[in-house]
Amino acid sequence: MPGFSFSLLGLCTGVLTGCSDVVVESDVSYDPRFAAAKLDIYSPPAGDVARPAVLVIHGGGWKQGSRADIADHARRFAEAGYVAFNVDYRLTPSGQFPNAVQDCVCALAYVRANAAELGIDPDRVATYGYSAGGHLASMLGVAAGQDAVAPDCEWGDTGPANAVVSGAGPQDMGMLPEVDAVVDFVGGTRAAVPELYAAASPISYVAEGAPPTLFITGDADWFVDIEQSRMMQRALDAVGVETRLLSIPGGGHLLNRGPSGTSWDIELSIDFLDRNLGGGQ
Amino acid sequence: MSDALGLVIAAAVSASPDALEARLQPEPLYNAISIAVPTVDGFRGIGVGYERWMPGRELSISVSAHGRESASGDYTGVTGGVGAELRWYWRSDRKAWLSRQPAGSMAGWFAAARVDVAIAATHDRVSDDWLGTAVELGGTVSLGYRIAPWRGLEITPSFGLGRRREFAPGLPDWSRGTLSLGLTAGWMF
Repeated sequence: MPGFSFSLLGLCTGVLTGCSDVVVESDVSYDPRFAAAKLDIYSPPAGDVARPAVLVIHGGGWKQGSRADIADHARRFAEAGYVAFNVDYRLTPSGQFPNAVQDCVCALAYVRANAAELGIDPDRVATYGYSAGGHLASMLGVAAGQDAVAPDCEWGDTGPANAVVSGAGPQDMGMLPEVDAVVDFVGGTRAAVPELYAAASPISYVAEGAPPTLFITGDADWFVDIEQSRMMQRALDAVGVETRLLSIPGGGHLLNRGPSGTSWDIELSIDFLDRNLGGGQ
Repeated sequence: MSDALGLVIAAAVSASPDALEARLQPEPLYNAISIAVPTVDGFRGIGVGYERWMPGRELSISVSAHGRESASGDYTGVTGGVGAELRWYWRSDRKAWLSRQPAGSMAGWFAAARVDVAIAATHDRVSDDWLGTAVELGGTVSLGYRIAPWRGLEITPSFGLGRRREFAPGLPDWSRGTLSLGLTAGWMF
């Protein structure tokens, strides 16, 4: 019987395992001042034209997690023709606002400043993140270029990302439950530092010219209520920005891939970016 | 006292305790119908399965189907799939813990191998575009424990490791590892 099971497992694995042409360059420093400021580059086979790019940003409540958590997403984007930059950033306490945001803006500036060498089109750089990463992805879409989050790294400041996919991302920090992760990231309670809650909220920066944005959220998310995405979508719609909201029925904060376990939300993200950045192939 | 009851009492008095217990044990149940509990949240999906016991080999084979709403908001999505699973109840020669079913039943510890195929179709309601149909093939090996605490009722948690391969329109195929936690409840008959 064990032999039978292993044979079946081997058969399944053989059928299900695929090969990939993606090349991974690991531990690239985008800001030598900080040990956390590193990224991995997932490159599809070189093409004749500059590729679009995606900054992939992990979650973890701004206090934990790493780019390894979301590496399969980065690889998926690369397989779809995007150069994916899987980013680490400073976590709390050293990543307290605005530091984590500044790190991500610095990573975006690094990508654009080295576009020719990296084989990417600097005007087609999207952000994709989940949870805290969704918040940072949104911040790069609406707040990059603002003084409040301008980095002082060697690549200078940069403008907003060209498209955003924000998965379960807080858009108004004041609407989050006041748990330690939130207080530690913002730097105090809502009552003590209301101005920082506003400064750390993507919705505070919505303006004409913001990039196309896809929101992905479970409609049973207890931590980042779906209303956060709806509210941000309404704000962006009001200034003429292309938006979509994918709501996953029954999906919670930790089960964003949906109850069936499929990852078609990533495929939908790629479709959204293809439509708004001109495609990765 | 009827003749029949008299015969039963006479047999019980003359038989050993082991033989009496064996005589009073119900027969193993050969079929089970179950639902996957996590799929029924808000009535937006359902997963059902049928399992057939082959006691001489300590094996059961099951087939299942599931369907659910998989997207809302600016999208409409539905997902459906079917699967087949082979289970080995390697300790079925003894009565399982927390089970009313006799030794020789499909209860207690089991190891399983499973294959699935699922199809997901998604529609962009804003642009009125169908985004295509993604197909997913999956293989899973799992370990579980079935309890049967009352009559034919069965409750079966399981834990599995698997591999999935996805085929989406316009994209290269993609495979990835998966962890799965399963919970089914059903009726054996």
